[in-house]
Amino acid sequence: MKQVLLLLAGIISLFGCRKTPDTSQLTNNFIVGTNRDSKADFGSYKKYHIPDTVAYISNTPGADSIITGVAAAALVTAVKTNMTARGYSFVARNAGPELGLKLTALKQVNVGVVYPPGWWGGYWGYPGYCYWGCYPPYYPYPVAYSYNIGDLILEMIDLKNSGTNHNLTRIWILQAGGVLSSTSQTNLDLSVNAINQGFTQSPYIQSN
Amino acid sequence: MKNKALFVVMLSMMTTAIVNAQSYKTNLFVAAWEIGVPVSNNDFLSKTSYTGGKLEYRHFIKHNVTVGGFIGWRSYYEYFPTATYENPEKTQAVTTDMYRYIYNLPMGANVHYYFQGGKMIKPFVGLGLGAQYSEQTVYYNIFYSEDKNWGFLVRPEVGAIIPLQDQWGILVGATYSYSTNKNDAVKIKSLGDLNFQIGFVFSD
Repeated sequence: MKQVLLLLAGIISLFGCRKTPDTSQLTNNFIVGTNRDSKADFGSYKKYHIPDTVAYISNTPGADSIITGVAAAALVTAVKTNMTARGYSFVARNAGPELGLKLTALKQVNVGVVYPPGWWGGYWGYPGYCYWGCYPPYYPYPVAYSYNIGDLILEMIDLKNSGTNHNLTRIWILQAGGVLSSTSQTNLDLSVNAINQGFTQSPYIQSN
Repeated sequence: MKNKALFVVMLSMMTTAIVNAQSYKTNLFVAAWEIGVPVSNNDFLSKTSYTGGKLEYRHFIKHNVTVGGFIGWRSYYEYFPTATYENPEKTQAVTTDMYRYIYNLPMGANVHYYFQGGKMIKPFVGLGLGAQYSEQTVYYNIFYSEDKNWGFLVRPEVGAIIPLQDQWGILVGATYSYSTNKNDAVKIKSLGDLNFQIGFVFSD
């Protein structure tokens, strides 16, 4: 019997009960999710407006603000480039834009703490980009390791059909997210790539 | 006289049977390494797994039949490079690379029938019935989506025992494992895999 137990121990230790994939092999590219209003006619709009700042929301108390300067400019420019390529014209806010675009950056600091489901619930309309039910982040790192999760949100609002009661419909949303680098430029590159990818996977955004 | 002769024949047959039975061991313990090849859920992942095994107990109820139980474990995973996934209505799209992962824990009762074979090899066929616990996980960036489910398991088996010593031997075999685990989110209607196994048999 002792031999049997030894044999079992040997087999189990050799092959392990469970072998999970090495998630460090995954790319650090943001996951890019897009979601459209199936009733929206993207060809019916010509003019759009986007502010030159980016709203910033984090889970650090008191840190919410707006992003201005070079970082915001890089993101806004990426949106404008894509919109121009799809046949839309940028106009000033007071020049009757038919579409309103808005960029929001969210940053969450994680110190090995799983945030409760619905943490993002405070931000309206954040549906999550998880097809299969969203779960808290997976922790491939030691618990003590602190890291940041970033999300970039680009919303497209229908201003043309807002009506007299100013009913603003969000006809398209791009959500990109993932672990943030400690280098700002890398995060900016990840974000710009995510904006470009969001438009690439949304070929229906095209002005007639 | 005729009856007496029949009695002697019967007695000698019974004696032979007892001797045969005594030449077999009472119990077999099996520990084997398994290679798994997914066959029914290839859309989710299709990569062969080399990280699996099984433990088995078999008890002789006749000289050529055992009943017993088994438990196994296996991890499948496969990397999928960056791609865009759309919902059927084409209103949602997600772009990411990912690891898809399945962890199976089959368990149940089994019965095996042993053919006469020779001194060097004892072929057998078997059937296992039981349940399979399974986890299907998708890892992307630092997030994951997971589903855990149970299914009814059927596990036919063929193999052979190659005795090495009085109490030790080597087992080689193959099983087809089918279970009714379902995961609608990733379109898994059942789990099926072929397992090739090699391991040790200990008898007492």
